[in-house]
Amino acid sequence: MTAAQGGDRGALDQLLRRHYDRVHAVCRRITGHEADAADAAQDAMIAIVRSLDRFDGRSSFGTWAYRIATNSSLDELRRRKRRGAVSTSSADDGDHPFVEHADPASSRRIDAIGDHLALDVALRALSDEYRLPVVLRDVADLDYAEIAAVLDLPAGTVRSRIARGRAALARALSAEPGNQQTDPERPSRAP
Amino acid sequence: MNDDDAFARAEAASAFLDGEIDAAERASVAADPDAMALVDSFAKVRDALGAVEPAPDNVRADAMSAALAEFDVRQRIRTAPVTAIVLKPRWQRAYPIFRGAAAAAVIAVVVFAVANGTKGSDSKSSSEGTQPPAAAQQRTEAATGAAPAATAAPSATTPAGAADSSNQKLAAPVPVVNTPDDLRRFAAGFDFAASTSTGPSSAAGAAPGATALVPMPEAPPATCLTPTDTYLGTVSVLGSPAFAVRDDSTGLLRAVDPIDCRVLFTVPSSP
Repeated sequence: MTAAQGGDRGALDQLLRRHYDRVHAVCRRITGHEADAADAAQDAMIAIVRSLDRFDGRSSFGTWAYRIATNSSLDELRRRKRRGAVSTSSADDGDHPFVEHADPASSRRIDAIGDHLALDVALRALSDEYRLPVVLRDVADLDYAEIAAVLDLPAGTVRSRIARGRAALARALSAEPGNQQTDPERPSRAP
Repeated sequence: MNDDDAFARAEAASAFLDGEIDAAERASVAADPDAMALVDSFAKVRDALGAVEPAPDNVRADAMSAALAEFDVRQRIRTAPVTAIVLKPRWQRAYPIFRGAAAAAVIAVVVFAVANGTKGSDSKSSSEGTQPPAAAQQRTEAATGAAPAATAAPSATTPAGAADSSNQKLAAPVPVVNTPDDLRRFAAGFDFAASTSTGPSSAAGAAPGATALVPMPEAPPATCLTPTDTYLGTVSVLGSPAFAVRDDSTGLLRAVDPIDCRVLFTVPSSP
């Protein structure tokens, strides 16, 4: 990190490659859309470079980078909302790797697509208030204190929102199609 | 179990899964089968969320290229030679404007002065009437040096208001000759031995002890003078303009009114 800040291009390249997949995953889960995630992740990478001099090391680089990725994703969502082109399914994304090539394992992939679709739908049904802490916890692997710092929330609120978000997702993913209910204010009493 | 209990159990189970729980609460969750069932459920959610397909290689490559290109641009900016542009203080930046304005003002004053000077030389009387105080003082001093007797009176100049009525020349300081003795003292400053003819220049010889010529005003009307008269200069008689002459043939001094050539008084050159 210090070398990258000092202008070492190779060090920066390594640093970005190490964190790109996680940044992309955060963007993917927050935006719920493959193309939007690609754009948001690229924007996040550029923003990291631009802000490199301002990184003071008070948090880990990962925490800092995922904060940037979260903001890039939210920006991308706002742009998408302005465009009014909300995709109802990631499967309609022409770049989706699962629908481009048929092969003998296609049946397993179709199941996987189904799981992805269900998860995307369930995530999309969650408000940012619950989706962001859950994604930062389960995708970015940040602890509660780090999430609290990223989202500027008390740690107790983070704990509560993660639990409610997870409960809503668990209920949605276990429910029968067409019977999904992801209101975190009404968690199920049983998984 | 009410909703509050259900929320508390879900929250504890979630925190249990994340390891963000104290020992007592951990023990409580571990002892509760329903809570542990929630933990399993949340773990599946976590695994599903974390199972994100990696970005396609071309997407990753594009992102990395864009980021490194940004880095390269910033490095070029950072390492480029810096040209410092030091801004002068505001007053210094405005100085050329003030300098220009001052130069314009000086030029305007000079042009005005030259124009005024030209007009003054066109009209001699006008020039005399507007000469600056310093010049007037110089003239007074010269007159005093050439004819010390003429400055014996307390006031060595004619009041300007009296002079204006007859001749602009009288606006200039002239000796005061209110009595015959004043006239004699005035004339004592002239060297009449060198005077052989009439006219101002003939009487402008150096007075005894004098180092400067008496400034002679313009000549009086010729009708007031005789061929043997020597014009001595313009004087003030009781606040009115007059001119002093000496009859070289008789040695008499006269104070003459310039308007009607009336002799105001006559006195011998020497008592």
